Amino acid sequence: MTSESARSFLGFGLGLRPQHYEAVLSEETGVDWFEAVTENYLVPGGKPLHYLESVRSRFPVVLHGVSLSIAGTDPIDFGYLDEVKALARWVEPAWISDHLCWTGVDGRNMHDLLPFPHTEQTLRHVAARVEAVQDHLGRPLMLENVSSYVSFADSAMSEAEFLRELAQRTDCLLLLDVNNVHVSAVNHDFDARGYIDRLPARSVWQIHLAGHSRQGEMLIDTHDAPVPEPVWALYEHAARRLGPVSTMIERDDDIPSLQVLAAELDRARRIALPLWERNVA
Amino acid sequence: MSALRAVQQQFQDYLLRPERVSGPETVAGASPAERRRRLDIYAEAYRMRLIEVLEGDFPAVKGALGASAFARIASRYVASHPSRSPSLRWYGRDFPAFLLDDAAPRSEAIVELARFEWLQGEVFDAPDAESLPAQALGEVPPERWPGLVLEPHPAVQRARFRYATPRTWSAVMAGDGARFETAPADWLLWRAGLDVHWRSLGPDESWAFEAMCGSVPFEALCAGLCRWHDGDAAAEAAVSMLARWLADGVIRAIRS
Ligand SMILES: [Fe+2]
Repeated sequence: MTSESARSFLGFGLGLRPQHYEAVLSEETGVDWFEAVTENYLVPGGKPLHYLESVRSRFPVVLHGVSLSIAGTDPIDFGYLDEVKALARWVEPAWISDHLCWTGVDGRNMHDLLPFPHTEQTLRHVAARVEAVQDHLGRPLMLENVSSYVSFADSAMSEAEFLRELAQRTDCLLLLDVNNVHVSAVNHDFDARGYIDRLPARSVWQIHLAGHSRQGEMLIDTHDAPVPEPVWALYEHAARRLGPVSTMIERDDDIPSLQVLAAELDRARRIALPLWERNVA
Repeated sequence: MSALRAVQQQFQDYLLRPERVSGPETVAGASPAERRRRLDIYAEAYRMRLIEVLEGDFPAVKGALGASAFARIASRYVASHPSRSPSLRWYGRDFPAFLLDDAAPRSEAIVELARFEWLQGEVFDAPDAESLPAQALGEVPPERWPGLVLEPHPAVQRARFRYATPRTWSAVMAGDGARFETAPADWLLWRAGLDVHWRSLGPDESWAFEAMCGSVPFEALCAGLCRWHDGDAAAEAAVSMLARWLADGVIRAIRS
């Protein structure tokens, strides 16, 4: 289900943000596809659903969730998954993603993408949950690497090795956030290129690009600034190594106009397309 | 997965009460201070994220109280209200009531402002439904009118305010100061197109609207309006209210 020939390439996209609803529908920007944050559309009706319906009728859309808590230890929230499934029924996303993280325990939701130790036990735990979720959704799940600020002394493998094993055992898809790799690489002092080199290329179906901010010696994943130079350089490395992967920019704060983001997205095209010439018509 | 669960419980406990606990022992770091510095990034982000949600849902309360007073009270709400929902959409539901229960309770006028902002949100993304077109009334044969029962649109809300809260809201959002005039009235909130609208209701219309929502037939509606209108004027008032409700799009269906 995840062989390279089957990997669909949507082109160059952006995260769908309410500030841009009208512009997305009325302006010519060359953006190929949009990613909608799942939870923002788990509402009864009104403006959010209206615009999502209009956008999905004109562009390919993918759904990106933040509440699955795939590495959590509370039972999987099948009620939430049913809502996602109902949304997906009419949105018909190209795929559904969430994050390799946990979001809370004992019924609480911290609304954050929290880290955990990477061990054989946690790998088995997460793999079993991925399989349960894929069974329930009836489709592959895509998981994104998150930025982290702590690591665990008892981790027995790197995050990249964990993702590689997870994809191998469950056939899940991977969403590579290049900014998150860079942020975590700085925060935990590892080699960002080596991380990307260890990922199973055929499983990576989507790439996130974003900006971050600095707090002392640490980088914080704030998505409030343009994609910075080190992330572009890492993206070029990823594009070379992975081949054609649907790429998008995530911007969540200090959001500029759609035209400005579309122009930033053109830089991703200029970097990646020459490398993919033979694969992308 | 009891080992992982224990780590998650300690981690979460740290986010909720960073000053009281030290976090999971297995968090890597050269010193306890460095571990704490790293965990604090999560703890601070947790607090800030939820405060931002409240700021987004209650912009006029923030404007009326001032940013720092709002941040203090929002912090206390966050400390006492951990989220249990996958979505942040409903996180602020108890905030209006909390403004009264808080250690530094706010005036009833501020609480009303918060209730009004929360109601706007409820109207904003309430379920979709077609509104009944205005000409639908003309298609009702005369003999059916007495038994006519109306069904309100799901995005409609009615609220009673002791202050001129919707006017205060507009003033604060326009950057003018908050002035709280006592002006008891009932208000109707509804969605037109995709936007939230509101207007005040006279006592007669407010009563009639509530009766309508309670499936009171048109004949009884007219009879009830006799409290405010004499004889034939009651029926005329009922018809003109009905016409306005249809024009506003607050009726979903009529049954007769
Ligand atoms: Fe991301």
